[in-house]
Amino acid sequence: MQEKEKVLVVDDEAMICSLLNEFLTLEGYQVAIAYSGEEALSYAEREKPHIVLLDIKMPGMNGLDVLARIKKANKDTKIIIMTGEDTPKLFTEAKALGADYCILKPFKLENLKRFLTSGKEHYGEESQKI
Amino acid sequence: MLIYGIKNKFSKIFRKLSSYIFPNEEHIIWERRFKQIASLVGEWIWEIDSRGYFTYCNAIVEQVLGYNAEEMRGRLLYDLFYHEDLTKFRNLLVDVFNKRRPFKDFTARFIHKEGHLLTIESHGLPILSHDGVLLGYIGVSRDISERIKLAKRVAESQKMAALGQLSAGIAHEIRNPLQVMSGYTQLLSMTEESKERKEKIKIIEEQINRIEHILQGISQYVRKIPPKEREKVNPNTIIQEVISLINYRASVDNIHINLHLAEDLPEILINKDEMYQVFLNLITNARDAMPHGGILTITTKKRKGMEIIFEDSGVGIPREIRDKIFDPFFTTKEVGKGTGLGLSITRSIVERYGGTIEVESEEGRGTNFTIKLPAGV
Repeated sequence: MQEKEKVLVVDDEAMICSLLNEFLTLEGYQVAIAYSGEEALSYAEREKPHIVLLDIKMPGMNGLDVLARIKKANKDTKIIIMTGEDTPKLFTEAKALGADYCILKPFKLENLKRFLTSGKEHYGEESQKI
Repeated sequence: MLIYGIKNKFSKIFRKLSSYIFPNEEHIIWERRFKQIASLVGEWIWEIDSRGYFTYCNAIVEQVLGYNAEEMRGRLLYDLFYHEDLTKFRNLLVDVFNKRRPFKDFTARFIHKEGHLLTIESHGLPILSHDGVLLGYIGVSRDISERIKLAKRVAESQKMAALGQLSAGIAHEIRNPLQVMSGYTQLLSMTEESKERKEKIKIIEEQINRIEHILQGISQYVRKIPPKEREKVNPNTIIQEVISLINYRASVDNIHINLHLAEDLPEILINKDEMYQVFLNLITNARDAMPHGGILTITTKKRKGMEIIFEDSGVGIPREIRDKIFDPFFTTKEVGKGTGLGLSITRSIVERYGGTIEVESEEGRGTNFTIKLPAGV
């Protein structure tokens, strides 16, 4: 049997983490949770997840810093930014720092699934619609 | 003796008569002085009698109201007021007149000879006879319509910016719980077998979509804040325009403004209103920091790009709040005096042009704000 892909979910909102944990487990991923940027970095360093689902606005280190540091350490990690902040500027900044996708909350789990499995060509699809 | 007495009496009468017909030399000197001063000052100088009829205006009145000095003579002050304000201002002035008080910063709307509205700011002093009877008022007025218009525009864009900040904040707070609701509803519908419950879950999903659309609407509305037209302008010109608008006010507040404007400063592609707002915000803050007057120095320098420095001799910014001054809604002014958005908007405008704004301050000594704009803006 093929090894499960590791997904790290980073969000300071516990309910978002549990939701994504449940969904991603259903979808067959191995899920880890981090409630802060600092936690996320130490996990990423240790476990080298394939995919990181990353919130931006968190107390302490924000998502953009986490994004930059994870990408610097391992540029193959797929990073999906999920944010409640509806500003094109943020999407552009995240892209410049190497984010693979940006997705605006609330998103359909279907869409998230598509981003989890696809290549880079869909970048910003979600942002296009706003 | 008799002859001498008659002669003496005659000469007294003659002197008295001639003083009516030919004013004495001192009068002439004073009249000349007054006329010269009145013609030098770029303000509308006026005199009214105790009932409010104009007895004198200098030539500037024509630039302000459209009527020349001659047309103004005998005109009733109240006839020039905008009709909506008439009752309010007449009562106010009648009260001031009755108490024979001086007035300062009296602002009223006037109607120009050609029919448009003007906002006029006036200062006046009562003229009293030696036994204390009010003869009239003498004073100075100026047209502040442009200043009011600009202030309104600035207030309007501050309001929009506040709305933007607020709704972005709210939207963000709502999007998280909405994600949780939406996500779990989707998980439920994946596993639910009952047709009836599936229907109900669908209704919840639809309503969640509705909330999301509302949020999108808000973001779009906020983003509709009109795209600003840019034109090539030399920042020195804008600084001078802002100064000409506030100079008078500054002199009343005992603030001296020094300008060191670099002659080789290049033009930059900017929106004039936005730059106005930046400069006006910084100048207004400087003024507020110098309640007892002081010196404001504005310097422009050509560097890699350019630097624009506003230096005041005011109270300074305490170290513990220095980091917060650019935060939206942060203010040290009394409730109702400041929105707490001035510097936050200032910074966002400067950053929109790829620039930075920095602050240096020493308590009791003053504050420097330095704007740096890159070359080729």
